[in-house]
Amino acid sequence: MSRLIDYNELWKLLIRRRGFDPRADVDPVDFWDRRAKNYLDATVSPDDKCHELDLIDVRAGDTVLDVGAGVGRLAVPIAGKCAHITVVEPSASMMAHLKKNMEDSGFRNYTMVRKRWEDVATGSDIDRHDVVISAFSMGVLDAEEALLKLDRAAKREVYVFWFAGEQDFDGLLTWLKEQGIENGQENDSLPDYIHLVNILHQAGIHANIRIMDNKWSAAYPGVEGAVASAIESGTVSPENAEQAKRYYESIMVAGENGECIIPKKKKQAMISWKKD
Amino acid sequence: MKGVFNHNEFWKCYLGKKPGFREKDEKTGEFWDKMAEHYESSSSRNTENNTRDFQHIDTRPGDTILDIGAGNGRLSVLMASEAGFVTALDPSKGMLSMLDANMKKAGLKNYKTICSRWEDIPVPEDTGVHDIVVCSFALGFYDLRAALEKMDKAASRSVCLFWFAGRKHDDGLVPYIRELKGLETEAALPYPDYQYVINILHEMDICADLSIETYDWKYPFESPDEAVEQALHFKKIGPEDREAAYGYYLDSLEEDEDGTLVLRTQADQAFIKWDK
Repeated sequence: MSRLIDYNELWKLLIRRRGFDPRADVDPVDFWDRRAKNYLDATVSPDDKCHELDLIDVRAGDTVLDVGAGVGRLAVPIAGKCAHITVVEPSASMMAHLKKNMEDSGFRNYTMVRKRWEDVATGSDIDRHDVVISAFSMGVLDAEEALLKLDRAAKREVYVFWFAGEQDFDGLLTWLKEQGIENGQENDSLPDYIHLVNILHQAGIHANIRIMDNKWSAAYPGVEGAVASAIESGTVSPENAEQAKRYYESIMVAGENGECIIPKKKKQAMISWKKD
Repeated sequence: MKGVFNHNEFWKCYLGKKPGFREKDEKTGEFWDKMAEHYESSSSRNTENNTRDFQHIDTRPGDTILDIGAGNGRLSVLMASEAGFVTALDPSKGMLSMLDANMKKAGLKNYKTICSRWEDIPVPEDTGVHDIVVCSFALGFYDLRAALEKMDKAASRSVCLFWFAGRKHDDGLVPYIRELKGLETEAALPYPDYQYVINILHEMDICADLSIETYDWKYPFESPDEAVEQALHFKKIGPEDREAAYGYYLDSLEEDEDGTLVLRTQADQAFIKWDK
């Protein structure tokens, strides 16, 4: 029964469909290095930024591993709550921002491993940690291997955050569809959390799920910045720049210093399981 | 991504080939009438599990609750003591008379019973809409998606489901018999587990919360013979296995503190919840 469908093979198909090809000459690290700048420009509003933190059981003496830590959105506050945190992050520029954020907060209880999770050897590159976290970092070809590696790296609990449903955070894609505007390529959202839960289930891990609706706003220097970011991330094709601008102008809020604030919302799932 | 598979069709295939499913499905009231007495003595021996289940349901004063497959009122009684009104639906008259007796014992009158299969009752015409819909270990519907859609329609705030996770309340009899016969001991699950339920919900655009917990159960029996008869009733074994099953229960039944023979099992179960 558990092998009626191989959910990991299904995952691979859905990832490949989005153009991710491990043989192709596309380095995802370059992609994240390029995006690091946008990521910072899109300042996350402070109210919602620690939503996940309330749900993660981190204790004072814990060692924590954060896989795909980015600029340290979770790793920095967690460093203040645990004994030691190891961050795995392939992008040099994300890592540089993370380092600065740690320094600004005065934390030194962290170790950085600059690698893709796929390339990390559990056992030699990293020790087992009490708590293992992976937030929006499952964009890998072999999800089963990545998940089981998280499991192996954990002593007490694993937390995986991932999208629930389609990824249309600011409503642009829905709006384009409603307007009948072709968006170059089909909107192939990443396969959502249910696939990860299915892969875990077939590996014998019965994980818990918590669905969250996160709202936040991103600030851009101007509406052009929001459009450029949407093009850069592949959300909208360059020929739709004008339409995207029109849409963003209709939903944007002007900030105090003239910046363009775009409200966003994201349905996400926290998948967690305890080690026996 | 959606529509790659239709988990409801898999579910139907699974139930369709389950021994005795169709006969039981048509006469489910009579099937459970025969079980009512055992069910009552069993649930009164596992009251802490009933309380644990009840605590998962966010019952507020004044709430109206629909309990589908309410049985002897294992949860209905607890819910009626905190909520405004409980509608208890069950296809078995025998079960509902146990429920009446249990409500009376608790001095509760804020409830009504409906003797019907869930599949046969028009929603919301004959049920009304309730704040919460609960369905505890009663998801054995041939067309699960249709049943879940009805539940969603019947609820105004949330729907709460309890269902098996992995190996069902497996008392070890089936693997024992299969081993005696030289068959693979890994028999099919009696029902597809929660994974199918959350996938069918996901295909309905419902992202549900899920938590998995381990429960200890004690099933009381007058004698090994009664345990054998019940295994036959549930079609876990055929008549030719009677003797082997007797031997199995003779060995595995233990005396509880009050001298009653009980079978102890441990089972994982899933609590699935979504808000409207």
